[in-house]
Order: sequence, then structure tokens, then C-alpha cells
Amino acid sequence: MERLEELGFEQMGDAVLARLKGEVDLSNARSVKEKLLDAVPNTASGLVLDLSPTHHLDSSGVRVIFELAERLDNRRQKLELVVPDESNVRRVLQLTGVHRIVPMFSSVDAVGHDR
Amino acid sequence: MRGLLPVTSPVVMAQAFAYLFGVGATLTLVTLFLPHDPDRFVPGIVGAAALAATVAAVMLIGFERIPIRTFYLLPGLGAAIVTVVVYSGGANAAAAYGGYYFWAVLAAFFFLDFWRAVPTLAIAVVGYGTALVAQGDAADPALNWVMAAGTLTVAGVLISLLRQRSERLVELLGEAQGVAHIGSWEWHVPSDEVAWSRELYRLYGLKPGGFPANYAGLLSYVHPEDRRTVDLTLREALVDHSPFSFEHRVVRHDGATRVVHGRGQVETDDSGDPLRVFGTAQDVTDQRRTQEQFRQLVESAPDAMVIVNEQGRIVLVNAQAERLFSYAREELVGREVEALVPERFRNSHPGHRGNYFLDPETRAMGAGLDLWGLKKDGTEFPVEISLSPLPTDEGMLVSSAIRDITERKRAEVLERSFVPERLPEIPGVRLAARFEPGGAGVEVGGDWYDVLELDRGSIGLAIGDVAGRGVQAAAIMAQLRNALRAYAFELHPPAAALERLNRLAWTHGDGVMATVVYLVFDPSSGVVRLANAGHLPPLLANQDGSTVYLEEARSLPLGVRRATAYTDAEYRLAPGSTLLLYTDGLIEKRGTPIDDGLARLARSVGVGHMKLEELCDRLLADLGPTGEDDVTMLALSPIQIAPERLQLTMPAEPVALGSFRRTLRGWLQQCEASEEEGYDILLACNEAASNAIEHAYGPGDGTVQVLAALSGREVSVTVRDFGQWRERRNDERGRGLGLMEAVMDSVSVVTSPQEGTEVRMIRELERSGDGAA
Repeated sequence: MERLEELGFEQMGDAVLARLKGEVDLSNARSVKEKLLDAVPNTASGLVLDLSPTHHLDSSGVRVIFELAERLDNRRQKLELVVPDESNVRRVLQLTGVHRIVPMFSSVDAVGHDR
Repeated sequence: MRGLLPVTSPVVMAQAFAYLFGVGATLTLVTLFLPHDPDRFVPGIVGAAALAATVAAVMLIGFERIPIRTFYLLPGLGAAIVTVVVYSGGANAAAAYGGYYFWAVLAAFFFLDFWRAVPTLAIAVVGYGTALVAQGDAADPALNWVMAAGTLTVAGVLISLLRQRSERLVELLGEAQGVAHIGSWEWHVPSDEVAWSRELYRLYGLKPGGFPANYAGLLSYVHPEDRRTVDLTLREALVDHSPFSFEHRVVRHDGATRVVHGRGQVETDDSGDPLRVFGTAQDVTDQRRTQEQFRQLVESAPDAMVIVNEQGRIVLVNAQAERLFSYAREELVGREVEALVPERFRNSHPGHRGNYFLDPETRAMGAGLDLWGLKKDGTEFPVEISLSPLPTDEGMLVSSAIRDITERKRAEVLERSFVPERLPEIPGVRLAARFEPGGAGVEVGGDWYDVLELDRGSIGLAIGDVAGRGVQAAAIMAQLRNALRAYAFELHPPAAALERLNRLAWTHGDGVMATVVYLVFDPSSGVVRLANAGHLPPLLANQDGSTVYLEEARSLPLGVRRATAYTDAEYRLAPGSTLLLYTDGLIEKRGTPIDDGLARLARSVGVGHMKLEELCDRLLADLGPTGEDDVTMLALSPIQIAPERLQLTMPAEPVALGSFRRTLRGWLQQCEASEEEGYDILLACNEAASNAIEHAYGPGDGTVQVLAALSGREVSVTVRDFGQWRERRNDERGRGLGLMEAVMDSVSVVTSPQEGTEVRMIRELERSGDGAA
């Protein structure tokens, strides 16, 4: 069966930049979370999760983000999200209050500038 | 100017000399009585009497009345008389006569050119020298000759130098006149002598002195048509002695015509008779030519032109303005421009006018406002006015180009009646249309389109173009459009409808010609049947981006033959394809072949699927409007009629969610939900299904049932499971429910221990974005 999501990683300064392409639902939420956590070593300053190429993200995905934020916070690491303004995903994140806990940027460049 | 005038005026110089002459002669006369020699007494008295008589005569007549040339002769004449007297009276008187010779020489050199004065000098030297020798005072007679010649020559040369000096002043004045292109003249009335400045000669194309220096000569150079005016003006001035001015043409010696502006005034003598008239003449040909060109420019403007000065007074109007406002030119010039403004705007108008002068720029007057003009008879009419500043020597002027837009206003109303106010919403098709009237706005075009809901859900589309523009074309168009409607509702097939329409157009006569495409589309079968009366072929664009012009069934335009046979052609339109009807305004650009236009249109349309409204906007942006011709287009796209209900059953497993979403997304698209609406509904359904999967069942068993329905624009979805409600993880479930409630209009959850849980959600869709133009 075809995978719903595709994950790509690269270094972004001290942090890890992860691009999440495709969809996140109940079927792949857990594995997405684990792959993301595995990709962030203790030495990294944090994780930048780029949701620009994400088509669908439901409450399971929201749960993943909350859990990620908590786990990284415990490790004194930072989670930041990249969500374009016009993205449908942004609507979901705002409806569920994610933006109040996790900083959101409209582009990867904007993350860099904010530092 | 005034200080120089005596020098420039021969008359004044003559007067000045006459006084000198009189004084000198009288002194001489007195000396004659000093020697009491009876021999010389009688001739001395006679000579003195002759001189006194001359002086007295001159005094009596008035110096100024004696022709100037008389003074030229006078010194030589006087010298000759004295010489005769000297010989008749004896040599001893000669010394006493020396004074007279002296004055004669002074006069000659003062008045005449150097060489012309020489004969007088010669006579005087001979006379005086002879007298001195005869008197025999000097031992050597040669000494007497030297003394006579020396004294008189020195006096003559000195006075000649003085004269040259004053001539230099005249020259200076001449140069000044040359720079200013102003000449001056003087007419000595009693003697009818006219003197001109050098510049005036130049103006007339003459050499100095090269004209008969009298009044008739002066008039002879005035253009024959203007001669009377000039003559009358001058004669009037002679009577009432008032300053005068006139403008007249001059026919130069070389035949060229110049325009001269003259001013002058009259000087009278003590008795009030005109003595001399003097004035200036300025060559204003260039100015007049510029003014004339400007006037002609204004006159040739297509619009009514009214030129207004800073005081708001009309300075110039053209014939079009006379016609537009029904005033004669003379009635308008000099009048306040507010006379052309309806009463109710009159108070505010000067304020606007003043503001314009503060910041003059070329622009339309009263942008966005309805402007009105007022005719002489009090009728008002709508106008469009553009203003431009016009800096001139006489200050800032404003030119306003005024256009009567009565017909355009009428045309706009008419044009709106050419096309349906809004497109009907018809199941199974999307429609979009554009109608951009072209032309200068005044004339109505002959384009039209129509959309008709026919029997059994089929749709009739028509697009047409009547040759010509203007109200007549519009009237024909309206007849054809209504007639076609009637035939269409009688369910004639397209070819039959056009045949009837052609007969109607033919009976109209007057060389009516129109092109029309009429088609009937059946959404249930996707079949389109069309007939084409000489119109451009409709363009079919497939969903994959390929395009084809539907060239079949094309026949002659309406109205060119009594009976034209039209045929129907049938095509099948696939869902997602687009059929575009258009008029030539979209593809015809001046100077490019029509095939290029067709190719460009096909390229613009053939870019794959896009919404019809977007397509129309894109075509307008890419291809038109040129502003010359109407641009009209009508696009139709068949859509699959959305199944009213979507029912599916999925295994209660997370991996089934992806395909569930895809199915639901497709259905929502057919319902014409917008992207955001589709995403919201999808998200809510996904949450409901996720909840059922997560909480209703243990691993690996059970199903989730989804029922979605579209009723009107309302989407209702029911998601149900048949499991036992297991212990819930409140926060997560709550989050899903919160999302559902946030994006749907209403959400209700019904749980029963036996029958599982049912989530019902409703969301009203906006009207589809495609539809009325």
C-alpha cells in the first residue's frame, strides 16, 4: 500500500529541518511522530517541522504535534512549525489551538529571520 | 522716446532752424545800419527789407506750414540775394554781409547732406570773398579769399559734424525699432509730407526714401481691402484729434502681405487745426499667423471647444460649440462660461473653476460625476468635458473640449438590453459570459448573446453580430434576438431556426447582414447540436488542453440571400470540456490576419481545465478588448450531475481513511463545493470516522458506514459505527469533536448501547462560483 506521508530531513543551523509531505491521519500518526523524534539528536537545538507540503492533517496529526512539543521541551529543545498562510492545515492548527503553544511561521525563511 | 523725437522729425528741425535763421538775419540787418555811408544806405535798406520781408513772410505763414524742402533752398537763395545786394551796393558793405553768409552756410550744413550743402558754401565763399577783396582792407587780396573760405568752411564742417551726431541718434532709434519690429512715421498734414523711419521702410520692403512721401503714397501700400478702413480711421482722427489704432495688411513691394498694427496720434496747432500726425507701425504678421493657426486648430477640433480665461470669461469658441449650445459666436465670446452651465450648478461652478486654475493639468472635468450642459433655449444635455491649461501671453487660459454624450447614455441603456441580465442556473452545465461594448462609447455595437432554458432540461445558446454599429444595428439585433427566441422556444432545431431567422432578416431589406451561431445542448446526453450562419466557429477545449474549432455546419450569414440552407452538426461534449462562443472582437486585431487571432485564442484556451469565470477573465486579459469592437463571449461547460447520495461502508481500520477521503473529496467536487468547503467537510468526516475506528471497536473488527447527501446546497453527512463505546480518551475525542463543530454548521452525536454511535453533520454550501455573469 502506498504511504500517506513522505518525510525528508536536513540540517538547518543547529536545528533539524523536517519536511512532511502528504497526509497525516490515524493510520500513520504514530509512525510519523517516532520518525520525527528519532531524527532529532540530543545535540540539536530543536526541530523545525515544515508542513508546507502537507495536504491533510487531522486531530491525530495535531496530537502528534502536541506530543512532539512536550517531548522536545523535556529535552530543552525547541519545536517550530512552518505553515503557509493559505494552507488548509493552518486552519486546523488554529482551530485546535496549536499556534498558542508552538510558534508558527509562514515560510522556512521566516524561521531563520526570527532568530 | 520723446527726447529723441525732435531729432527724428524734419519738421521740428525745420522749425528750430527757422528761428535761428530769423534771429541771424535780423542781427545782420541791424549791422547794415551801422556804417553811415549814403552810398551803401539805399541798397543796404533794400537788401535788409528783402530779408525782413522773407522772414516776415515765413513768420506770417507759420514756419511749420512751409514745406520743408523750401528750407533746403532757402540758404542758397539767401546767399544769392545778399551777393546781388553786395554788388549793387558797393564793395565796402561786404564785411557787414559776412554775418549773413555765415548763417546761410550754417543753415545749409545743418539741413542738407554734406555734399548738397557745398554749392551754398561755394556761393557764400565767392560772395563774401569778393566783398572782402573789393573792400580792400587787406594788403593781399589772397588773404581775403582765405579768410572768407576758411571762416565759412570751418563753420560748415562744424555744423555738419553736429548734424552727423544727431543722425547717429536717429540710427540708434532705428536699431531699437528694428529689434522691436516697430517702425514710426510722421505725416506733416499742411504740406502732405510723410516721413518714415528706416524700420518702417524695411517693413514695407522698400529702400529708405523709396516711396512717394505723401499721404496717397502711404495709402498705396495698404492692402486694397483695408485701405478704406485706414483712410477712414486717419480722417476721423484728424477731426476729433483722438489717439487711434488700427490693423491692416500691407502689400509689400515684393508682393508679400504683412499684417501691421498701427497706433498714432494727432498734433494740432494753436488754432486747433491738425498739424502733424505721428505714429508707430508694428509688424504682427507672425503673431497673427500663430493666432490664426490656433484658431483654426480650435475650429477643426472634433469636439465643441470653449476657451476661458482666468476671470471665467469665454475667449474663443468653435463652430461645434456654437452648434452644441445653439449660441452664435458673438453671443458667447466675452460672456461668463457659467452661461453654459445649468442653473443649479451655477453657484458652485466658479469655485471649481478657481481650483482648476490653482492646479491646472490636463484631465477630465468632474471625474465620476454626471455633467450637464445648457443650451440657449434652456434644454440640458449630458456632457463629458476634458480640460487643458493653455499658458499664453495674456495669462492662463483653459480650453475645455465638450462632448454631448446623450446618445452614448442612450446606447448604454440599449446595450444592457442586448444580453441577459444574469445567466440562468441550469443543472448539468456551467455558464459564463462576457460582454464588453467597444467603440468610442457613443455608438452601440451589434453583438448579442442569449441563453434559453428549453424543454426537458436542454439549453439553447445563441451568439450573434449584426454588421454595422449604431442604433440601427441595435434595432435589427433586437429583432433578430427576439425572433430567434421565439423559434427556439418552438423547439425548432438550430438549422431550421436559422433558416426562419434568415427569411426574417431578408424581408427587412436595407442590406441587413448578421452572423449567428445557435446551438442546443442536452446535458443528460452531452450532445450539442449547432448551426452556424456565417459566424466564427465555436471553439471546443477538452479537459486535457487540446482544442478544436467546430467548423462544420457553417453557412452564409443571415440576410445575404433570400433562402439559405443551414445544416445541423452534432458534437458530444465530455464533462470538463469547454465550448466557447465568441464574436470577432475577441480575435480581430487591426493589422493581424484572422488566422493568427484564431490561433491565439486556441492557445489561450488550451491550457487545461480552469473555471469558466477564470477562463473568461483570462481571455479578456490576453486578447481583448481593443476598445474598437465589442468583445462578446459565452462559455459552456458540461458537468456531471452530482449523485445526490454517497453511501459507503469501510472497514474500521485506520488505513482505510485515505481512500475514504479520496472518495469523499471526489463527491464534494461534484457538489461544486469550494476548496475550503470541501476541506472542512472532509476534515469533519475524517474526524468522525477516526473516532469510530479508534473508540468503537477492538482491533480488526467492525465497519464504519458513511452516508452523505446533497439537497439543494445543503450537504448532510452521517457517520455511524455499530460497536460498543469503549472507554474514551476524553481530550483526544474532544479535540476531534471540537474540530467538527468548528467547521460544520451543526453536529449532533447520538449514542445507544445497542446500535452504536451516529454522528450527523450539516453544512450549507455557498452558491457555486460559476453562474451569472
